Amino acid sequence: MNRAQKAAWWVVVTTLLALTVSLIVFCILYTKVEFARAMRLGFACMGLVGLSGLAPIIFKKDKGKVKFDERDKIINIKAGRAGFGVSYGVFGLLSMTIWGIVGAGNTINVDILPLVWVAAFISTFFTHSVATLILYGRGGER
Amino acid sequence: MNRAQKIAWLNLTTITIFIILSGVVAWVLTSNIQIPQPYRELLIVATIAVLMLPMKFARLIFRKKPGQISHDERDELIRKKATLIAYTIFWFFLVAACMTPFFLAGPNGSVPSALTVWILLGGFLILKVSASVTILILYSLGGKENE
Repeated sequence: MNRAQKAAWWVVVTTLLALTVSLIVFCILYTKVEFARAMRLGFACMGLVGLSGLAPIIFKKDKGKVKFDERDKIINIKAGRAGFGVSYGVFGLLSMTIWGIVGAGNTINVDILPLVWVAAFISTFFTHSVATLILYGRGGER
Repeated sequence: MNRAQKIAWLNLTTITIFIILSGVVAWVLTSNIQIPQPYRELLIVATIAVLMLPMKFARLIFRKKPGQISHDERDELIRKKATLIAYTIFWFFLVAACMTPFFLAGPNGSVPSALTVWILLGGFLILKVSASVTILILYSLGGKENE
């Protein structure tokens, strides 16, 4: 695996770990505190996704003269576009779901808005990493 | 102009007409003009159709000419750059649109649930306008060789 693939795996693992911890915390707190507070505390555990930013420090540059060639650049751009596209879909889905559940004439708590864009933000990097792994996988070991 | 430039101009024109029409419809709906309820909803649906239909059928309006190369590597590169730039600008808009009500209303405040739909619509318009403007600028940088 090259550096980009290792970093992608790191992002996927940390995101899934953060999601699992969030769900566990939410399930534990659901019966002890009110629903909205349990959801906020559970979502706060998604901060573990920030560990994915350590990838450039953990995974050093590849040895060899060519560290990032044209194929790596194309894969990175394609994965970036996939991440952006999915983030728009996630944001759209969350927006319409909130509007559909709450109803047209009602109000929502203002701190739902940052949660919506953070969810889309996390989905961007997760999709970028998954797309990177899939696109590298198609090229074989080279 | 090639096909991509024509579609970009169509998108920009459609969005401009939509914004003007939305302003007029909003004024009509909030004024004292008496419009029966079914017609009020029809007015809103028609306004959205003015936005969606031309953009949706742009590729049918501007068809590929048989026997001609309508899309080469340079066109693909311009399209990819425009997509990346459009999504970058969209993300700035998204963060600003979500955080501004948060700071204005305060952490315990509330906002209308329709705000999420308005932000979604605004994001869509930002995406289309950014992509179209970027396409037109990138093509203009290359001179007339693409025509």
